[in-house]
Amino acid sequence: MVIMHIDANSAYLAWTAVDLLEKGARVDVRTIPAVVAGDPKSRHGIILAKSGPCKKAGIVTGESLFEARRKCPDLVVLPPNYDLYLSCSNAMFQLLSEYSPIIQRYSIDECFLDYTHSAARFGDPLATAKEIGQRMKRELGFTVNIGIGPNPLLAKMASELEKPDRIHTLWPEEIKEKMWTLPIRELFMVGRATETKLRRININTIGDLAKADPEHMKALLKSHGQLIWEYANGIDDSPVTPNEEIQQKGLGNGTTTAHDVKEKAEAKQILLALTERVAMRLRKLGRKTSLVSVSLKTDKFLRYSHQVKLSRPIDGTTEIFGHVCRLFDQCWRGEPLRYLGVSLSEFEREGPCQISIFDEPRNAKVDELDQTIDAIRKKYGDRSILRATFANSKVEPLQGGVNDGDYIMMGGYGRENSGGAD
Amino acid sequence: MKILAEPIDAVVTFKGQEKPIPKRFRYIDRSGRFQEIRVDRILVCTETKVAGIRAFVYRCQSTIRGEEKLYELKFLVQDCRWELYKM
Repeated sequence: MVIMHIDANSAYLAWTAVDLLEKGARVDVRTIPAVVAGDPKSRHGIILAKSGPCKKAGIVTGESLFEARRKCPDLVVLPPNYDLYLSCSNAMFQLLSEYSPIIQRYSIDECFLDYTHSAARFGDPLATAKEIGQRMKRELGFTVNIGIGPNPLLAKMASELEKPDRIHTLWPEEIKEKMWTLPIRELFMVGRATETKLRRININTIGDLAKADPEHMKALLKSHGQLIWEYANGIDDSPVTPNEEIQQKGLGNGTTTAHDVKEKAEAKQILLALTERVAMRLRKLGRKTSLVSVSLKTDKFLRYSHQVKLSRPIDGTTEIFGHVCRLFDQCWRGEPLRYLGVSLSEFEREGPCQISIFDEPRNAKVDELDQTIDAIRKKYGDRSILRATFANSKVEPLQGGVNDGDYIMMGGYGRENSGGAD
Repeated sequence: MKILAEPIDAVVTFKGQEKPIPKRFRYIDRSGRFQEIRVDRILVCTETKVAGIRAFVYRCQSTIRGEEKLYELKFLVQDCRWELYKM
């Protein structure tokens, strides 16, 4: 197999820069200390992307705008433009589609491309990668890193090696020299928590992990230990799966509120607005859920969640919201809230299902109502029909999700352990 | 030529399967006055997708105040509007 991983360099910032240049801006924001960040007034003021000079000043993605300004006082702050990002991402995907039909859009700025069968048509993968990189720069205006390897894992590791605008290969014989010397945190699927655990037993580089005993890793970190040990050795037999074929395992929707929520009624309205969106997405997928969960974050940044397993899979907004309310009442301890979230999992396909004699009799009219509302919203826009409860309320009637939920996020989804799309 | 990206009013002909052809346009210059310009010659038209935004860029030539000038007009397909892209 020959797999390529294509990753746009500091995507949000680069895309904003290209757009601004096209609109006649005199400076390229990639060359000055600039960041893309949300609006601090609505408490979304975290750094989403940063330019090269910012990186040198020590600004990291995910920190608050306040901290970033302290490190770099003359910082230029740009608002995010998700429509633009989606159009850039689509253009990138379209360009890649010319080279292979098997492409997985791993996130808004990354794609996996299966080049195995394209080699006969386009030749050497390295030469093609070079061509792709040049075309991206010339036609779309931004640079990409391309990693080439025998499986998705090594391709992804390769594209992370040196940035920006580079092409790297990581074939099995190169693992020792190129990958094993890297610190353990650089390995895919090793996060902050796993890093601490591994460093405690003196595993500091990817090479250390690769040479460790897999049984030991399994005992320490369960199946995740086995997985990262395989990754450290460059073993990954997952194929590149086009997004339409990915089995979605969960759906989630959440929002950080502009002010702390203290009233129960307001919290429930926000939960309803979140449920509306997530239930619509569930029905669009043609699935029913049998696990509903609510997660909350307090003003002290304490996070907790509560979930319920249902005896019968459901997909109705009102019915899901009933469970959400019950869960919320059971777990909320009255403290001010800054984040609320609803997620659904354990999906079942729609179709005949076992009913229980203890349940409320099912009302076919409710199902029809949901379907009708979905159809109206699809045809006339999401805000064409709303619940009356939101009529005189300050709460947004549909919440969460960027571009009305039709957006692939930055972090990536659909591989291995990450099932949901928030 | 510098990038201006100024929105303009344009008179354009659409002919069958061909790309739209700009004939005349007007824009507000630095002194705030309307400048009307007839497109004398279209030298080349290229399709661009910079930042994923599909557009047609026309490199044109006109006599402006007795002087032969090169400039570029841009048709933004998604937005259905014209810009004086470079001058």
